[in-house]
Amino acid sequence: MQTGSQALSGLRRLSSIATKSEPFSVYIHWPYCSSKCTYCNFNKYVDPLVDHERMQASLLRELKTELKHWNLDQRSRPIRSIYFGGGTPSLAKPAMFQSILETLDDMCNMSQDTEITMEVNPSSTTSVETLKALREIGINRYSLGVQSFQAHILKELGRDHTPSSALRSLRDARAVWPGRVSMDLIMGHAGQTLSDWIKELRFTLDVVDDHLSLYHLTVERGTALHRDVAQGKILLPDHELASDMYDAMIEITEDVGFEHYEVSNFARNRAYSLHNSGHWLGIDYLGIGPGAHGRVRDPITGDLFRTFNIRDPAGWMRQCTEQGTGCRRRVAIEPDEFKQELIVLGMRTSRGIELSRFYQLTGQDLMKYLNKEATESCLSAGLLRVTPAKVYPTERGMAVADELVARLLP
Amino acid sequence: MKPSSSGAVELESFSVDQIRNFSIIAHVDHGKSTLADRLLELAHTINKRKDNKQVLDKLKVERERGITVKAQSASMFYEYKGKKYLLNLIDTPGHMDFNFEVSRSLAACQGTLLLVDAAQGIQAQTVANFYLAYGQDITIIPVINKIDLPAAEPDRVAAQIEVAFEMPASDCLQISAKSNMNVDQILPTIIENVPPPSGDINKPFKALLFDSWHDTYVGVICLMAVIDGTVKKGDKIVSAHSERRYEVSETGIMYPEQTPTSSLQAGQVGYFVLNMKTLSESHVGDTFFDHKHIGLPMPGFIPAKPMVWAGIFPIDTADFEKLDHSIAKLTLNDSSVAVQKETSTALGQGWRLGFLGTLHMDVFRQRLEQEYDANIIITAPTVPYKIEYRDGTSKLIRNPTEFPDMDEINARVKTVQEPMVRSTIIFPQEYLGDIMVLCGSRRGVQLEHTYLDESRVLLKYRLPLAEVVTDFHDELKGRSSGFASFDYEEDGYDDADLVKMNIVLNSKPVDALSIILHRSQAEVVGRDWVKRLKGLLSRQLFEIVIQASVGNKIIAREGLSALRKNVTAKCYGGDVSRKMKLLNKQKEGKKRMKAIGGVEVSQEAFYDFMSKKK
Ligand SMILES: Nc1nc2c(ncn2[C@@H]2O[C@H](COP(=O)(O)OP(=O)(O)O)[C@@H](O)[C@H]2O)c(=O)[nH]1
Ligand SMILES: C[S@@+](CC[C@H](N)C(=O)[O-])C[C@H]1O[C@@H](n2cnc3c(N)ncnc32)[C@H](O)[C@@H]1O
Ligand code: SF4
Ligand SMILES: [Mg+2]
Repeated sequence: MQTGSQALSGLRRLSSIATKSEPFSVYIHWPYCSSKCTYCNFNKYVDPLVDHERMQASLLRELKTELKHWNLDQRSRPIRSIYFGGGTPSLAKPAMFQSILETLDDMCNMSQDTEITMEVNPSSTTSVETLKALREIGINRYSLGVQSFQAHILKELGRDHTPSSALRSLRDARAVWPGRVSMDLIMGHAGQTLSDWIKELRFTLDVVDDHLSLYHLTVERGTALHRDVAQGKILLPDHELASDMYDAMIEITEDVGFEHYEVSNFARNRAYSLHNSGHWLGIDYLGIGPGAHGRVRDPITGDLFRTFNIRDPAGWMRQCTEQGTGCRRRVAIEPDEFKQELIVLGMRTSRGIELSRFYQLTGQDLMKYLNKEATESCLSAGLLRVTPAKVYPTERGMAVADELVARLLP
Repeated sequence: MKPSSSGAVELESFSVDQIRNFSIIAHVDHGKSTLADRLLELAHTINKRKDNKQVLDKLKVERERGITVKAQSASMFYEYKGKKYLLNLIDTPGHMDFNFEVSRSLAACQGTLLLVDAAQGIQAQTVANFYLAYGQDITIIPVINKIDLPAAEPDRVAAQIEVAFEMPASDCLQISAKSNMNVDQILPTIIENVPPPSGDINKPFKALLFDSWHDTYVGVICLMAVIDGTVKKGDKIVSAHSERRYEVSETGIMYPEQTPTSSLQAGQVGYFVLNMKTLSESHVGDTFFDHKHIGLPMPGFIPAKPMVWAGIFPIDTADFEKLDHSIAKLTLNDSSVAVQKETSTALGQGWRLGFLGTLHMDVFRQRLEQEYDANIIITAPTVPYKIEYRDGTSKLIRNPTEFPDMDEINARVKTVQEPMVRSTIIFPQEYLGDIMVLCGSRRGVQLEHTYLDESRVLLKYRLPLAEVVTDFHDELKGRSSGFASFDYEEDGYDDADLVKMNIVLNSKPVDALSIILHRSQAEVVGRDWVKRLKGLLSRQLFEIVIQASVGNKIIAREGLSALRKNVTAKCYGGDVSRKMKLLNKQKEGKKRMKAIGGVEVSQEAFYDFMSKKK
């Protein structure tokens, strides 16, 4: 494990005084799923014999250790958001959520405004009562992995739910958390046409709550999808079709009042995800659970660290038992790396990057940091906008954000 | 032959009539190197071993490609009818680009073995080499090789030799260099038929320099044929060309490695170490004299003129210095490569190099890559064009960027001329139609049409060199199922309606991609290039317009619409650090791109375009 003695003067600017009152977030990873989806390369395991008690104990142990390690148990720094992600957290026992939230409430400064999200897979067995119980223990936002409302696509993706169970889960969740339900949908499937996608979207917009994540199917290494694509068994939409789908998705969601606030995220009535946007804004977060990663400031020096947890649940639990934490690596984030991270993430959002925030976090004038020539050509090409307060991508710019940042960064 | 007590081989006992200097000339792969191995074994210059494979081909490229690039020589001692002979084999390159080397080697010989494959029969270089030897007035001994092959037809090949060269079929030796069949007839035939050199040992020293190379330890080593007199260590000799005086610090023979001798005498062929520092001091064809007896020089060679020019650029501009060094080192031993510095707006700093032909260029590139680990881009080759002005002056153009623009042509230029070649093409008769169409489409004019036998045709065409250096050879092979062979020699200059075609990216010309071609071809080539480029460029943030133009006229156009979408769907947590790594790689890649008209073109795209890989 690497420790925090490296001198990183640039980042100390956000002095320990500022650090003392900055909010932070917590991410908790539940690493189990009931089956594996063809496209997914997340840190997840299919294990029929999950030791729920040991898992819960380990999560709690690690949470406490890390809160203390980073001086986050001083109540001076409010919790902005808590996110139970996975894997499939809906497979965990309600007691797990309860004990974690109680611990956080005990040790830290949680408030009415703290966003507490749970990521779930649609299931026919989750009752409204269960949802209400979850609401009682504090869950106040619900994110449902629908992926598609088409049976043949769900099958192709290896999902173990049906369109109707997804619909029911969505309806139930909206009843319990009105205005605070999100759902995920994936576009760009093999054989999918533009009109297929438009139909899927229109259907979705009739049933959706106020938040939507629309992801372009990504071919990740090590997945069944990757293998099939590499072997030519599957042909995914080409650049033109995928671009048409992306454009259609922006247009159609806008028509019904959704704001495209991040590459893959849409919100109505300002129902943005606090957790994810905190991440883009450079807010600290703790990573708890197998394979989770965090980004936290050292309370004394103000140096910024990235943390990496052991990925495999058994190994992670073992180390939690032995050392109190399953963290395998803490590494200082170089000042330049953090600047670039803020730009990479910021240019994926419609808000872009606020110059004052960038200066506060890095001590650097953003406009001086960006490649001048590239900034100018992107400005004149209508991919970028600059105001005295911020730099942000246009809709067209956001669509090519990867290319944009590759040019803008020095 | 044993070295004397002094460590040097003594050659004094060999009078001129005990010496024969000969070479082997052949089409590629007809067995020249194999036969040389056999002869050297027979005379015990090398030990008979299973793995004597082309001992004279020293370069890796020579072995890989099976061609001899550099002339070499090797001496043999051989007893015949009770008399000892010193036989010098002077190996010659077997490819048209190196015909110049062939003639310089032939000048040091009195005889040559014309080697022809019994299955393939006469090929284009057989013809070219025959005429080179014929022009030097030396004894030609036809030898038909590979008679062990099941497909061998030695009698038919002998008949071809009679038709093509007017040499009686019955004079042909029939051998197999591989199985050693009849190889023992060769040296006796040489001794009987090739005249000894005509020098006089009692006259003052005089020698012809026919090859040289650079050695890291002793500097330049010269191969010379001694015409008259004798020479030994410590003698002072003078170059007729430069009038510079040198002291001989070592003489010797190639046996087959450098082996010092106590002296060299009239008729003998050997190497000289003269304290020459650079190859530029050694002029092939130069005559050397005893410093007190400077006589009439031998008719010298016309130095080889580079006929194919190309720009060479490092893929990574940081490699410039290293590459500069490598090129200097390689050209140290290949003075036929002409070197000039060149700067391209698209590719940065580089060189414009002149080669004898495209194979010479390929070999040079391969040596740079293999022996010096170079990563390079080579532009499309250009032949030297001649611009004649109205005021009587003229200019040679080796780079499309030097080609006069329209205004200059209208105002000042009288004619634009291009180099021509006479080519020999030999192939089975069934391909006649296709090959004539090909030659016609390359602006060729037929000069000769001969049937070597009932099924083999020999064609001679006059063709623009520019047509030959691109993909003519490949086309020829393609249209004849690989059976056509081809050779050419230079044949002056002709007026031609030539234009410069520019490739323009978003209205900025890309200098490294301009070429000179015949007006009639501009449109076809333009369309092809523009299309291929489109395939090699990646979409960018802006629309790219790729055009080919001649003067102000656009002759071809393709558009590559802007990148619409390139963004990772999901990006958070640990993915961020992975993404940052990818990003840094991407940025590195961008550094190695050249922005032309705002369009980023990767070096790889240039490379693929030039090498026609895609
Ligand atoms: N069958 C057979 N093959 C031969 C004979 N002589 C040479 N070869 C083969 O022909 C190929 C070309 O020979 P090489 O000596 O390199 O030809 P070069 O290009 O003229 O020097 C090699 O594969 C040799 O092994 C021969 O007499 N019989
Ligand atoms: C980490 S997954 C976990 C959520 C939950 N287990 C589920 O599957 O619904 C969160 C979301 O990421 C998206 N996702 C995962 N892998 C993806 C891929 N390869 N391409 C596009 N989106 C993907 C899916 O929409 C999924 O709902
Ligand atoms: S997409 Fe969700 S359910 Fe499917 S394997 Fe991944 S984490 Fe598990
Ligand atoms: Mg050879």
